[in-house]
Amino acid sequence: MSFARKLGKIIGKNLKLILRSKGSALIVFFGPLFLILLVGTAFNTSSVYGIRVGVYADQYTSLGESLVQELAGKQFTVEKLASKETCIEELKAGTIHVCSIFPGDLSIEKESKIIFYVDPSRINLVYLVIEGISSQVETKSEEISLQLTKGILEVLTFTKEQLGHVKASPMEITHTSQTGLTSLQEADRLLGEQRFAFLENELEFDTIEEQAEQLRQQYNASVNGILGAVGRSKATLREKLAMLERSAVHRDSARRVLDALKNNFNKQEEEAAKLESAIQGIDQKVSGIASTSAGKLVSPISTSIEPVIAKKTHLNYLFPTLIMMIVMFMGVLLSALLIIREKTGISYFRNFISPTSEALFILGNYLTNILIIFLQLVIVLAVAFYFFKDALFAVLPGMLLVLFLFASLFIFLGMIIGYLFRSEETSILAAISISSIFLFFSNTILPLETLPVVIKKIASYNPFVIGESMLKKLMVFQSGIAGVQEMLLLVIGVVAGVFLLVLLTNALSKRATQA
Amino acid sequence: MDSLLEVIGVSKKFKRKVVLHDVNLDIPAGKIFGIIGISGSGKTTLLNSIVGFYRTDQGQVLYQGKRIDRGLHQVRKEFGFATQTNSFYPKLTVEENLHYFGTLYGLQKKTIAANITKILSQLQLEDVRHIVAENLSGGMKRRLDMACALIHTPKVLILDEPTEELDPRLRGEMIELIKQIRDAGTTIIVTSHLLWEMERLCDQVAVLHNSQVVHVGSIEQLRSLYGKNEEIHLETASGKYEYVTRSLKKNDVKKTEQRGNTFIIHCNAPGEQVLHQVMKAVAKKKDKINIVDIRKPSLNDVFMKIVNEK
Repeated sequence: MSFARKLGKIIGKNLKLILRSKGSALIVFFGPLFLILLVGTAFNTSSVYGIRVGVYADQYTSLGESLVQELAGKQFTVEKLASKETCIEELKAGTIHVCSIFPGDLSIEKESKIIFYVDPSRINLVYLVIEGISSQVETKSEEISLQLTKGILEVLTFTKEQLGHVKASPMEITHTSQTGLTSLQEADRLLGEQRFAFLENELEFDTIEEQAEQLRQQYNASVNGILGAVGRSKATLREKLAMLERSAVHRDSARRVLDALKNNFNKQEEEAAKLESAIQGIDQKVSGIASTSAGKLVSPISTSIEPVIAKKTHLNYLFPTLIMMIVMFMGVLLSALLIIREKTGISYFRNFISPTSEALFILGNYLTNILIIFLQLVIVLAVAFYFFKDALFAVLPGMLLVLFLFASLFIFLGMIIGYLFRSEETSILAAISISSIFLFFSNTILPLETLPVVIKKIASYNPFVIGESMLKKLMVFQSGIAGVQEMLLLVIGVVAGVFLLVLLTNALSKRATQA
Repeated sequence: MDSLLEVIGVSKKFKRKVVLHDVNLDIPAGKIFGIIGISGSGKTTLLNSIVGFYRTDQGQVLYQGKRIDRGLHQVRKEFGFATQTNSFYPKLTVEENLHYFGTLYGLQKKTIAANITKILSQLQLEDVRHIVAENLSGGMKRRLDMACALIHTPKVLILDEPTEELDPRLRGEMIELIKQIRDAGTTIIVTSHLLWEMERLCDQVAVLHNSQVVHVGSIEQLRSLYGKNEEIHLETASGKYEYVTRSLKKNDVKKTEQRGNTFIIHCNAPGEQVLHQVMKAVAKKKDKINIVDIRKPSLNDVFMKIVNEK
């Protein structure tokens, strides 16, 4: 009972001391209120404002102008500058956030490059600006690429249509050639079958003449007429034979012409076959084009970055960091200050010589700090409710547990600082330094991935990083306590270890006072 | 006389500076025990060592025959300490301070309330009980510190320069209060550089010099040891004392001096014998005596003699 009364009195006394100092009271109550209102109002958006883009080109082509329009149409303020040097100087002076140099011959036909100058000293802004600007330029570039690809595809489509039209022609030619060839072969055969060879002695005109001579000799004049007719017939026949011989010569010429025609037809057929094969090949290739959509060709693998959670404002992402920052800075600074003030204050001696155990003072100081931090968190969460509404309540138990553990951890660290140092100034400096180290070696200013491997490994044990990541899991990804269970156990172990260090440093501090 | 507290061979040094060297004291119960010494002689260090705030390098402190470092909790419950520099919370009110420290001493609420009323009345702080301590005058702060030391009605009260910053009236009242507390059975250990106060207050004193206790005893014992010479303080109507000096036997007088209108004769012979010579000279000169007094040596004189001798 006495223990609880003493503890209550120590906490009450601490709270009175803090609240009676106007500056402390102001910071305790209005600090977080002001902070969350300010941050809430400022970051409750997903856009980037006030980015000024400086632009310079020797000559603004239509493409350059359209790009400028594209940038100006978004959230950027675009300013055309007189020269490249001016543009860079303005960037150095901080008047503009990015300097874009367009080549004078910027066009689709020519291969030209737009150069962006950024100020790397504003490292967090640089990524934002690069991402914003390049996305705008990429949009334009994609638009142009799409147009070009569309043109090519139109030509291909036309070619395919035309091929479709003429695809049958080689076959028809082949067919016609084959028919012609058959006719020619038939004509050749028929011509070949004609026989013009005829032997005069096969007509036995000589026998008839001999017989007629015999008759004439026998019958004298009466057969003269017969002999004359035979002689005329013979002459006519000779004429006809001569005609037949000429016909045979003509037939041979005709067959030679037919042979030549046959050869031509054969060649034509071969060429038609080749043409057919080529057309078939082209047709196959054109038909084989997997995609005929220009968009698909410009960006064959279409990607879309989808957030693992519904898109939220900057505040949603920032809130775990913000709240962990409050817990860290308040925890470390307040507890260090409370301890060092107690230690260097005139009342220290009377507390020291009172019959009250040191553990009770430690517990009293710890509980005072926890109370104040939770008071601040209540204020912060009450204001945050305005921005997050019901989403906050769903994660509240897990969030409070994590915050309690980390508040304890940071309070203990602050207490250790308070016990280790001998003056208020040095302990505050140490508290600010350690908090700043935690902050710098976290994802808040630069991603941990930008650090060298060894430092990154060390920084991953940074309590601020761990706390922030646990809060993010709970608040942003809604993982529930199960999602951070393993880490929770680890943190509980660390908190217990740090508490032992508090006891140790307290004993050392007391020993140093007594020495 | 039974010792309540015994300091046995206590030595303490800070880095290389020896502050206490082989200090031995027996502090009797129910008395006011004074520790006198020049500034930096180690008085506060000795008091802090007695309550266990400083760990001694050598020696030990016994309370009721037991080592205090082995029963510190009990010692702390029974000891009250009013420091030289005040030790309370400036941002708390007088009452809040008393309530807080009363709770730390494990007192019940009712007891605390009753003690607060009593102590505030004794120390004349009732009117400022709701005033924040930092807004009190220097004298009130001293009294608040004393109140904090008394809230749990300690058996041993340690007062380090308790009358510092008090006006003469309050100083007298404080001395009376300390005596009252002593009379109520509390053993009091007190330090002060105002030796006339210690003379009025202490039953016993220890003289601390060069890190060591050079004498312990009652003031009378000190006087008899170190201050045998009496002084005659004389003030005449003429204000001229050359004839008095001429009339004195050289062997009877150690030295003479004039402080303002007062002529002081430091005697080697008994005071009354020298006074007779003075009276005769004044009568012969037909001068008129305004004031004449035979005084014993003050604690200050004794202290100075001890310091000079050592």
